[in-house]
Amino acid sequence: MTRPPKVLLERVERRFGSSVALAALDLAVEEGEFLTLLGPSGCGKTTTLRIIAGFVDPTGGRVLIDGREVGHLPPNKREVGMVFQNYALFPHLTVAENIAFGMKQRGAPEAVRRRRAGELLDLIKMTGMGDRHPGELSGGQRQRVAIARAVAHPPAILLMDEPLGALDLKLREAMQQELRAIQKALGITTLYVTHDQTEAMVMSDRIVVMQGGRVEQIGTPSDIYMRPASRFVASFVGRINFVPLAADGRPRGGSASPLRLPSGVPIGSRGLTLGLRPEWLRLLPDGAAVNGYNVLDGRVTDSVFVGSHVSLAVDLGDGGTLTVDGRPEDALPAPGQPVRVCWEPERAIILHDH
Amino acid sequence: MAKLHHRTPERIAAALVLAVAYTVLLGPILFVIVSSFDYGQRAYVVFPPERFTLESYWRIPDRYWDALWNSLRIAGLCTLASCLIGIPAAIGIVRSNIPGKAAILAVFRAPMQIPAVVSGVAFLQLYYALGAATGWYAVGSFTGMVIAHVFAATPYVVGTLVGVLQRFDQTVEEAALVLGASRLGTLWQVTLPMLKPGIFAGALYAFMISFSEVPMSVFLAGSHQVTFPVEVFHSMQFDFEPTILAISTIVTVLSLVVVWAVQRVVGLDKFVKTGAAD
Amino acid sequence: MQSFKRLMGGLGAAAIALALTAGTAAAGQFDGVTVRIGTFGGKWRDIVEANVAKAFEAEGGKIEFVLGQPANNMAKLIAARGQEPPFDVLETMDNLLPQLAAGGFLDTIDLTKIPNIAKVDKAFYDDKKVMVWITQEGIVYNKAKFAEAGIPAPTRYADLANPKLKGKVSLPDISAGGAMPAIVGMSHEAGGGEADIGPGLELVKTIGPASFWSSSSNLQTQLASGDVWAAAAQAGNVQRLKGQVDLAIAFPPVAGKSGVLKQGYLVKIKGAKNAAAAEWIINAFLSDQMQVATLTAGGQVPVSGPALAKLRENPDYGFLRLSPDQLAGMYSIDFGKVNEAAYVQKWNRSITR
Ligand SMILES: Nc1ncnc2c1ncn2[C@@H]1O[C@H](COP(=O)(O)OP(=O)(O)OP(=O)(O)O)[C@@H](O)[C@H]1O
Ligand SMILES: [Mg+2]
Repeated sequence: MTRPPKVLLERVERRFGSSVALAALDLAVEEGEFLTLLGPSGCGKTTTLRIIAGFVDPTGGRVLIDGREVGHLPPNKREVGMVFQNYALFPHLTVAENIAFGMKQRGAPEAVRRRRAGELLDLIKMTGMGDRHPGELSGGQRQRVAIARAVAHPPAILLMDEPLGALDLKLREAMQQELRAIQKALGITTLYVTHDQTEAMVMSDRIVVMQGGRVEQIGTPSDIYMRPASRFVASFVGRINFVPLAADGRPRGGSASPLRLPSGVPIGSRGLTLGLRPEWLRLLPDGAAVNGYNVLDGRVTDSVFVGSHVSLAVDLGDGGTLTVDGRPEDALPAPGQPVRVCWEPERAIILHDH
Repeated sequence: MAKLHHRTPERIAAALVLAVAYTVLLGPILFVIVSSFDYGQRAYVVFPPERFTLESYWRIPDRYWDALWNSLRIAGLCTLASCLIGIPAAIGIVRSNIPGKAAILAVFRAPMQIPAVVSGVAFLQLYYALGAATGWYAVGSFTGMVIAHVFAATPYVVGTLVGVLQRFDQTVEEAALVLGASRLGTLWQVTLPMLKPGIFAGALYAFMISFSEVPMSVFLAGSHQVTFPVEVFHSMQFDFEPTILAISTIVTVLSLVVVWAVQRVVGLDKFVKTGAAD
Repeated sequence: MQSFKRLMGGLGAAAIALALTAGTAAAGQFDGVTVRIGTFGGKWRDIVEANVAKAFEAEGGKIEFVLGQPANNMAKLIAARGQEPPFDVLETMDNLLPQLAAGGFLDTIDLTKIPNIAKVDKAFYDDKKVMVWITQEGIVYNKAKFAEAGIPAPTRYADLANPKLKGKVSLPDISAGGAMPAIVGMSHEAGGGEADIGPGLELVKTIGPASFWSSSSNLQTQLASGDVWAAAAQAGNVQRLKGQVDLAIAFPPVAGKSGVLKQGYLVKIKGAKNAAAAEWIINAFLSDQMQVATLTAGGQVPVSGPALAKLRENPDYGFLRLSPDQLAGMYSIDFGKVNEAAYVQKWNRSITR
């Protein structure tokens, strides 16, 4: 039952001169899962992938693939697949030759290569396009070829570094689905890099949120969204309002009455911060109340129509502002009107100040 | 041309520019070719020709053929040697992180900045000094000529390749490595094929430089070997002969055929088409 | 008619050639000897090959050619200084002799081993150099065009300033082989000389030529097309364009003489490996066969008496000065007073195009 993880990074560190790109990173990619590295630019995502692939040597720690340490192996001996943001297809080879390149390196006979390339072309919905050259393909087609090429000789792990970054939004969304479908069909362990949180949510089994060369949190998309481990994760993934509470349960600096917390959360002597997602909040006319809900009074200062919802800014009078999502079909208060913001006490993220 | 009915002022302007460009480029060549069919033992070029005869061709003296064959061998060897030196040099200059890369590149570019006549005299002096020291005199020898031509041609190979390599996307090589290709396999299966247009252009440059080199070769030609352009140059200095037009026409046609054939064999068209899109 | 005359000329040359070969010494005196001659390329080399090298081969020797313009070959000589020179015999021109002498490249020629030297005017050789051909420089003009326009035949360079010739005159560019004689000739005419070419350059400006010719092919094309009616150039152009245009040459007075000579010499190079054969080669250049071919095939005027006499009989060459007296009456440039670099500078400064 306790199979070793497909890829295991143990206290991996990488310095470039005096700057630390990765600091004692621990990470386990389980067999068959789709794990995404998510984080702001420069947090070390690419460096992590390149260490696994063998293009960058760690300055500390160990890298294990299938339980074997691979630190001494060059990239061509590591059995990893890699998809690059700019595709990096071989322009002088046909699509089929591109796909079969890895198999050829391992001495697969011509017939086997041709059959496998055909299968993969079917899988990526490019049947019959094997004789084209990469220059004759669209961006999305090139990306699919790049994926097929990376998995043709099944790698222990598939590494993808922002593979959809160069595509426009529409195509990117379509490709997210397709990529996930291909990954599932092949059951291939995948380590994916993106700095687009929606993409990470849509595609991943688990997400690793990174910052400054460290792991902030590892968890399923809903864990990350509903139970972020830090203020950074909470604000990096999705939109959020922070309401700092004093030790007596009142919003700090305001005159509102104490707020109810989710059951079982003790309020410390130094207080804590509530994290409220805009879609968890509801607006009530001034003076109205809903039983058992927390309530804060304020005044609408701004209202922006976003399509799926209307984003309203509510000034709480004590310096704090809440962002609230309203449904466009509801009669929403106009800017200047006094309103009440209310929410179910259980729907709140508790962030302890450190 | 097939879409004449789409005429717009821009199209007409473009066509005009193209026509002028082609006239300027091809005019002198056509002039030589057409004139070569008039043979009158004349001291000058007759254009348009007053008659049509192949006499100029029958009368091409052996010394032109000998010089042409010699030039082809020299240019061929020079191309090979320039590529063998220039390609690794360019890769080393662009890819390695040795210090003083700019200085090394400058050294490789230097021959382009020295007037060829000066290089010619310098080689002459060098060969004599070398001869005094070793007893082997390169002056007037085939080897001596090839070495001087390699000196002149290598910078063009290096220059072309450095340009191509600087634009080269190295992630393609990483892709090959991660797919299981060794370093050598990557060089052979990916890097070199992708550099092919650059190598071809550099080699063509080297060949042309060698094949048309006069200012240096004039000093280094010997009694046993003269290059074709030097032979023509000498002939022109003494007197104009119509056979020069004939042999020049043959050389022109030969070059066109060779370039066309190489392009077909190397398959450049296809490559350029696919490579350009990335 | 024309070709018949040529045929006769050729037959005459052949007869002389036969006579000469019959009279030469027993074969084999140069067995295994290779002599290297620094000389011009192109057709001239073919002429030397046919008329000198063949005979040398009959003696068991072999000739190798080191081709190049005289200045070019001199550079090779300088590069090889202190070592074996690149050639044993050098064909060069009058303007380079002072430099060759100053550089110590000239070996003493044993004139007693050159029997043919007796056929050459004493003024044309000494023990360092032997003249083998000349070109005669003056004013080449188109007889028909002059007649049509009612212009009298030119006698002096200044006649080229005739307004009726506006746009029809070409003078040599400073880079052309004909520049030196034209500039020196014009300078003398205008009151200067080798040491002072200022008046000559003034005359160039007064004439205001339509073009400056840079090579003989270039000039000949313009003469043949009728674009140019008159040019300061050498007599060889008249011969070369025979049958195309009817040209004549006028020799203007220069310092009490008439017309300017440009001279080709053979010199023996100091340190040459096969010095012994050098005299034989020089002798062969002065053979009647080679001297006749110098003009008939090469367009240069020979220097040996019998060849000149032979050629005087041919009316085709009537435009040339082929008697010893006439040759002695032509001006030879005093290269001791010539500073070529300064000429180029002065030219560039005063002649604008
Ligand atoms: N070769 C290198 N030399 C020096 N510093 C480097 C090098 N490669 C990466 N770094 C630094 O290491 C840190 C992590 O870089 P990395 O490329 O892994 O970030 P990333 O998370 O992939 O960012 P992005 O989202 O912008 O691609 C950055 O601060 C970067 O500047
Ligand atoms: Mg990155």
